[in-house]
Amino acid sequence: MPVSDTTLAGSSASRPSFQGIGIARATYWWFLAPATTLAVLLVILPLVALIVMTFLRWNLTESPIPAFAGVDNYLRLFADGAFWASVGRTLVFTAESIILQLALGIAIAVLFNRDWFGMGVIRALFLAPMMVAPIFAGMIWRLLFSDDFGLIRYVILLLGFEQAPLWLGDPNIALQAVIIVNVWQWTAFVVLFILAGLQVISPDLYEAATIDGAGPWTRFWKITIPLLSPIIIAVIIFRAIDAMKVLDIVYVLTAGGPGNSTETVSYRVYQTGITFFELGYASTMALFVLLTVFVMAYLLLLAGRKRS
Amino acid sequence: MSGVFGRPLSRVARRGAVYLGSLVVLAAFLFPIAWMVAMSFKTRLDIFTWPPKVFSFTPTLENYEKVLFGSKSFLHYVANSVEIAAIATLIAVAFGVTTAFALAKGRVGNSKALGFLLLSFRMMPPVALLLPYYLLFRSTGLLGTIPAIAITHAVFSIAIVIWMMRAFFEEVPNEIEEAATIDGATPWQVFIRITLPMSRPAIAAATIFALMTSWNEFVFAVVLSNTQTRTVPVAISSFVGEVYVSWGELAAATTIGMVPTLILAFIGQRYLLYGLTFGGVK
Repeated sequence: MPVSDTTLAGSSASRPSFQGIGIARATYWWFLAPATTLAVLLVILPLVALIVMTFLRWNLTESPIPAFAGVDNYLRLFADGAFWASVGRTLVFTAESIILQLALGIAIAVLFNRDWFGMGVIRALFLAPMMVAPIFAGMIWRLLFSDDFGLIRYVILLLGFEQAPLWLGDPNIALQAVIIVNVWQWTAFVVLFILAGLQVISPDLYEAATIDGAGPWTRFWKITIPLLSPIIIAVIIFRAIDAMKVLDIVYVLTAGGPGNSTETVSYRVYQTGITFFELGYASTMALFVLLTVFVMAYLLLLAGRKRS
Repeated sequence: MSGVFGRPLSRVARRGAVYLGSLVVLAAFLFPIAWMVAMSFKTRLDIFTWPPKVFSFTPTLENYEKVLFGSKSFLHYVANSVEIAAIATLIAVAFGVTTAFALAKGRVGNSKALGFLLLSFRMMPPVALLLPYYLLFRSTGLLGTIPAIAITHAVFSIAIVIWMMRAFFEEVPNEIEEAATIDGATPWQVFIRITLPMSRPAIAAATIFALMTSWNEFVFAVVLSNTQTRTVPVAISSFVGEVYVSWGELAAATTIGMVPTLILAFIGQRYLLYGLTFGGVK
């Protein structure tokens, strides 16, 4: 698997400007027209609509006609304990997932980082969970977690425990189950980035450190981790943005339950808007998600720029 | 670790340990997929056997027969998914490639600002567009139609198609295109006769990416479809809500949904990674 060079997001945009094929610029606008039209109609205008909707009282179960609500939705958002609980849950989900993915990802990348015979195949096959749609991944784990025939329960009983947890039915554990699925799916993503980072570190550094008497552990903490830190930061932001958007695996594993115990912020937007038809208020929550992601994407850009 | 013979031997042992460790890690991560695929070949009895039989059972095609030709009309959903993915990919690749060409070769637009714009389109949380789309398609009577779902998938693919193709075009030297221009070719002629034939592998990669994005997409498909226009992921998620769930059939349906993307992924892996990691890994 070719993991060689790293040019992150922002840095590719800052490559030195090259010579174009110098012809009348106006002609090129025709090439841009279709995608620009699509972007205006299906991204820009909908986002404007979203912002407008945040100022409306619009509940389809009450009336199809929206009413102007001023900043009511915003005030409601600030005071909405259930919403902030879902934000908190998303933070727990994000933090736990990222810590586990990083720990596993770095360990696995260090293990896989050899150009021996067959290692390329191992690295390629390792990506499979990441290629599976979240819905299918969720379904696989729903079966694995099953209380009737799930293999996880069997293994836990085999290990000598009296009882296996009701993974998806226990409000104290369900979020952990969703985290496990997320970690299973996206650890490969971290491995990819870390592998790319490891290839850039010069072997001379390790040799010099070994001559100075540094053991493998010292070398790992004093050379590998510091040199990987820009990549680690980028990976954290990527995974955090994705965690803000988590909806599909929650939908298929637990539908936010039991109770609200696995309701992430994106899932709450979906529920409020599509299940309960509170369009105005759901839009306000959606705008919150959008702005959070936007800030994180900007941080990513800054991190990318710092690296290049 | 020391001695004349000790050293090479310990090196071999260490290499063996790394191979073994790597294989164990790989097996652990692939096991859930393999287990579910195995389950799709089990009878109801074999699924519920306790202690469970993981791989030692007599395989049956019963689940596949029921899913594909039974009352669930799963084939119909597969057809929906294929149709939606085809339309979405066609739009995303056609619009994306022309745009990338203009951006890379025409020096139009501020490259930095554009990079950020594309990145933000790509990272857009689906829930931000979900409600406006729902209203848009509801008011235009397109809710529940295949083109409505396809166009939303195209929106999410196009940013990455532009991103991938622009990177490719920028690395292609301009000499041939410039020569053609001097000979009097218009940008369209340059694009169709010279640039496009040179970019076949990159276009193939972008196509694979767009196909996978659409095939795997769930959030828009579940909201914008109706019982007739469900895609494969939506159909699978709806099986669980049914009163009687045949787990074997569910596993078979999930396997059918998963296999095409896994095959596509390994065909286009190299380029796919570029897209999936936003250019972070080439």
